[in-house]
Amino acid sequence: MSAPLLEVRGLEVEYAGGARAVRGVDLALERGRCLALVGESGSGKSSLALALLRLLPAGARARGRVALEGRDLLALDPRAMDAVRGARVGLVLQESGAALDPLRSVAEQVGEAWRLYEGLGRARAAERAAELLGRVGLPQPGELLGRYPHELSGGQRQRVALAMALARGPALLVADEPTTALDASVQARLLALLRELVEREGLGLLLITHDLAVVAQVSDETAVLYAGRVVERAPTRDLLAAPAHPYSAALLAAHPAHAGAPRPIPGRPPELRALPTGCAFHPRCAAARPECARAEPALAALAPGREVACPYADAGALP
Amino acid sequence: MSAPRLEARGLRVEHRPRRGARVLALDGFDLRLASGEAVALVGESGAGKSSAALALTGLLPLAAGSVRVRTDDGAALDPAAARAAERRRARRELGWVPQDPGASLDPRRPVAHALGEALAYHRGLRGAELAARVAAGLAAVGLAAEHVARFPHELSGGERQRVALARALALEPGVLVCDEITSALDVSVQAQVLALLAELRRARELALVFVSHDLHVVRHVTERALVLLAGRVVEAGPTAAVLARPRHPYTRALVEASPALAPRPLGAAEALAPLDARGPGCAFAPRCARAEARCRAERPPLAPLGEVEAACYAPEAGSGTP
Repeated sequence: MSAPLLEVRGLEVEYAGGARAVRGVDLALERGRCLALVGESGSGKSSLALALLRLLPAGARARGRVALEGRDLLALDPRAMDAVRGARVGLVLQESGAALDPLRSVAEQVGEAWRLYEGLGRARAAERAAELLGRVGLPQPGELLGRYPHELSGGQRQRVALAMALARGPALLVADEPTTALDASVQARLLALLRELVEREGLGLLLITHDLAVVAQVSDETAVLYAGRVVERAPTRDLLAAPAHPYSAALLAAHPAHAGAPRPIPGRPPELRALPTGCAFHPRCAAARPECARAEPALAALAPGREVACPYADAGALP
Repeated sequence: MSAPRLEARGLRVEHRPRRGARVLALDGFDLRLASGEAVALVGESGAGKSSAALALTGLLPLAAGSVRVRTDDGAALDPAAARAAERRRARRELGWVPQDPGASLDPRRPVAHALGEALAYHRGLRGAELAARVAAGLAAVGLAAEHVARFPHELSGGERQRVALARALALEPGVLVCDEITSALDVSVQAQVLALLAELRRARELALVFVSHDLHVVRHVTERALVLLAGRVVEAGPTAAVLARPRHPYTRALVEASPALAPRPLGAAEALAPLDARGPGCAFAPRCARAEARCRAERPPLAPLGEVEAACYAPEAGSGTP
């Protein structure tokens, strides 16, 4: 069997001011599967995404191992890393659609990678761009080629950005809040498309979001991130049916689609430069005990395929 | 029903781009809203939700129709009145919270200014009295006194949205108009802002116009919902009935596409694939599975249908959505 698509071991990200955004995260993702990373603003989920692609801002440092198809990306020299980005791993962000070049047509932007890396001519690149735009669900792609970003809707722009991320056929797509700025129905269509790419084309998808409803539509497995650590990992269906970590449960209860009025999580996420002692969630946790302020619990197996970083999570309550 | 707090009749909003044909953003929009009542405006981007909200506050010129807001002493005022004095009094009654609090707060001015400006202008407050009212306004939205001197960039998204709420409430309006105020926020912060909104409504008998594309949020916040499509209301009624047993196929498609905590069947959202909706008939007809020849030829009027009103010649049975 070949190496797993993505294997992250002991990943740490630290910013210049001493903020530890990611603290010892392990992840694994296979081809044709979707892993979701869920957490609030400040949980470290975007730092983690940038660290995987080695796109962290200057002054931030990543340590650990990020193996993509068996190769440790953190150990590659910058030139080799350039060759990996786009070709083996694509990236879509919340603002990707808004970040398209306003002065260049859709055909030029989608076709750019092929012209640059595969030496394709303008006409052939445009032809392939039309094909790819069709694949990401844009109707009449031929007509879109000559358009400019301002002539597209927000949903269309985000699909064009997705097409660009997929242009060179990466095995892994990292998508950070790819649908957050979009209207609910546009969001639903884009999520269905992502799921289709995973199932039909065997894409590995690392989906990063704060929204458990997004997770429910797309991911097979979910890791819940709090203050830079994974506090729970579970098959998505099981997590939504019965969250084991108090933070996962609080996130679910805060969601407007959850039964009953959305319940706010008291307090706010901790300062990453001054984390509380013990479990980072304990100051906001309704079930906290004195012991929770002493030692930070490690992720431990709770049930098959399920791990939780809370010694008081009740395995008996699981379905 | 007693005299409505806010009443709109036949609102029509047109956008006239410098090039190209004019766009009808809102047509024939009616609304009667009582004190303490909350109504949702729902629909996709471009449906006319924000145009309706802006028109209600007098911030968009009307091509036709009228808006009246009633004050506590019973006067019915026009927020777009030609007389400046009436316009000012009417707008004091209409608090406005825009979608992006980051963009609507002056980045060079501290939070105190955002609240103080309106109080100084409309109420003539100065000095210690003004400072006390600003502090009380911030406290009412759950912000501490230390926030007074902060600048917008020093606040989190949730805090900025609280400041925007405090500013809209500074003049103690009878009506609050909120445009997608939680859609840029994290789920946990969103829950805090929604809880705050519910508390403010209870405490002040506020009438609320709540624009949102998130049907789950709408379900928790409002009692009545208006569904907009291509500038027209196509379904209206109690929020619970509209969302649980939609009669217009468009509403049903919206409900089915709304992200839930369980996987939606693939293709649930396909009914909403965008199409050019101009033409004489129902704007949803080109993508409606139930459409008949008549639906494409003439536009159905809004008419009573069980618990709700719907503008549809071939309505759903209203037996509930999966």
